Amino acid sequence: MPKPEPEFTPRLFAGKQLGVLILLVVLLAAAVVMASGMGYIAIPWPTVATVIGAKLLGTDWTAGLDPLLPVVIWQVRLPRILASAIVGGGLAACGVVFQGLLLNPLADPYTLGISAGASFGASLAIVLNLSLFGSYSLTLFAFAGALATLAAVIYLSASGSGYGSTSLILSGIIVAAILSAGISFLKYLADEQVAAIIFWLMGSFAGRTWSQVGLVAIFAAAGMAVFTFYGRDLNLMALGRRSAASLGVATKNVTLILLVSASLVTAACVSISGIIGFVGLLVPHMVRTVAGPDNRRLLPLSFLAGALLLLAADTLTRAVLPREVPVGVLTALIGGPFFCYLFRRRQKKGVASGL
Amino acid sequence: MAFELEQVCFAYRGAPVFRAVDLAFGYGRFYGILGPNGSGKTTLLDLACRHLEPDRGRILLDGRPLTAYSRRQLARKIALVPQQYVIGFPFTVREVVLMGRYAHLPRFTAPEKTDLELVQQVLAETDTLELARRRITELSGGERQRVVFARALAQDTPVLILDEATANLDINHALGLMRCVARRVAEKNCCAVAVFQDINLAAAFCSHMVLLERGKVVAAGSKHEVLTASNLERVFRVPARVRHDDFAGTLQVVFAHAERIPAAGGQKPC
Repeated sequence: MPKPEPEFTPRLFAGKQLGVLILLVVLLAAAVVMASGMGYIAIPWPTVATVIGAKLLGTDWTAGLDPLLPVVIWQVRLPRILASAIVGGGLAACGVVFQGLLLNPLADPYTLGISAGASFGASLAIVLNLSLFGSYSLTLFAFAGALATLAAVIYLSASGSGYGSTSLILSGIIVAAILSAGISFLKYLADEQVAAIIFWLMGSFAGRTWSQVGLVAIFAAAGMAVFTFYGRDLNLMALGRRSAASLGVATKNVTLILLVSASLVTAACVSISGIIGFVGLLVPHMVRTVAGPDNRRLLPLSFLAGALLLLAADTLTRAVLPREVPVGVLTALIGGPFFCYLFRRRQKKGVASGL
Repeated sequence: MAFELEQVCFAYRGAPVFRAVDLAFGYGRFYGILGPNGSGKTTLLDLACRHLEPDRGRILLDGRPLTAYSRRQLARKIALVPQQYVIGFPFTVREVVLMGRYAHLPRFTAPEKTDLELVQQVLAETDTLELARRRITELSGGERQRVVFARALAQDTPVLILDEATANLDINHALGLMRCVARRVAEKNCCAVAVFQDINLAAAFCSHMVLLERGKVVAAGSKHEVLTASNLERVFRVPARVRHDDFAGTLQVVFAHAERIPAAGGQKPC
């Protein structure tokens, strides 16, 4: 019997990929600390590290500092920074799941109309000036809109044998088209609140609170646990439902579970941040060039890369640019051309990459 | 018996395919399913893999109803080489073949040495060893077909189902894969069920045959019983002659290509 080649290892993270994993973790931690120091009041990073350490460990290391600094870091900057990181990570990981599930490299967390549903919910709350749930009204309405959309898409695409990728995409497009007409109508009705709707649609992390961070963190953590659990099944389904079923995957159930969990994570992300495009499409492709197509590797690496990317973009608009640009606009402006470059380079190489 | 179909009925959106079909497939035999387009060959395989479920009647696998198995249990019993498959993501050939071990490995468990050796062995068997490190997206149609076949072999199941598995292959590799299947049937007492378009390939390798026409079993039994000129003429509506060919070393079928021989009640070739 021929011997297996020595360099083939079934370990998930080894060599280059392990290096990338460690690098991303270190960079993300460093980025959180650096970003907390940047802004209107510049704070040196050792001070930031001291404040964060003191808060986490409950010590009184901050005693000798200006009492304003812990407030700026802990109450103002960190919630926004963590929100951008978790949303970036969540969207990127959901992108991986949707691309695998829909067998379509062009899919992203918004393909099924989740974003349109959230936008509709948020616009409705703005137009009707609803404040049923106080400051959470907007978030809750956006989340409810996303859930209703998901339910409609699943209902439309269900057939006896499961949820085909084409019918899911089609249902998503139909529902999103109806909803965007609805959003246009709401904008037409909105008079002076039109600006608020447009601002929400462009996405922003300005003024995020710890409770919003908590909400999205819970969804992202639960989602990542589910994605990781079904990572291997997703690999098999990426090569076709029928094949996956004959290899032992309960495709109908797994599709539904992944679809619902990825949509919930997306809904949570969108409802606290608005529509931030390109992270969910771009990051999985970027990471795939380094990590290959195995979803078990792709999911954690994409989460880290997405978190780092959106954190960097949000810090750029918050602390570096002379005027705050909506972060959704920024990600599309930077991400779009980069995606073109990546795509062009692969086309030239003539490699059928699945991109 | 590996498979027993009892009074199986099946219809696609009201268009009946099978009406009360009874069939049995045993271990240690290589079955060829033959029939014209639309006769229900692939539907029969889909029912056997539980991709479709019968409207009435039941299918037993090893004496237990097919519906009593989980997908995972089924994947340890039946391996399928499909006619169509999606290659959307650039997995390496070795990764794809290793996916055949999925049903044997608990979640979060790395494949063991025996799994990797088995993969190595089926790669060698299907002549795909030198492709092992290539990305499946870069391969030709025939190469992919061999990789998908290797993945089915890696499942190491007692039942092997092939849906026109040699359609994209050159004659050398087609014969190679068929020998591979025949060897498993002989040595491991497997049950192989394969749909063929190429009747002579079926005649060379199958021990048993099922002849379908519009969802009806026209003939089922040993190759010599089923493969007769009258059966073939009746089903395919082309005059045929069946004889033992010394060069091929097996039964071979020759069809009349010219229009000069009109078949009784047959359609005109167009």
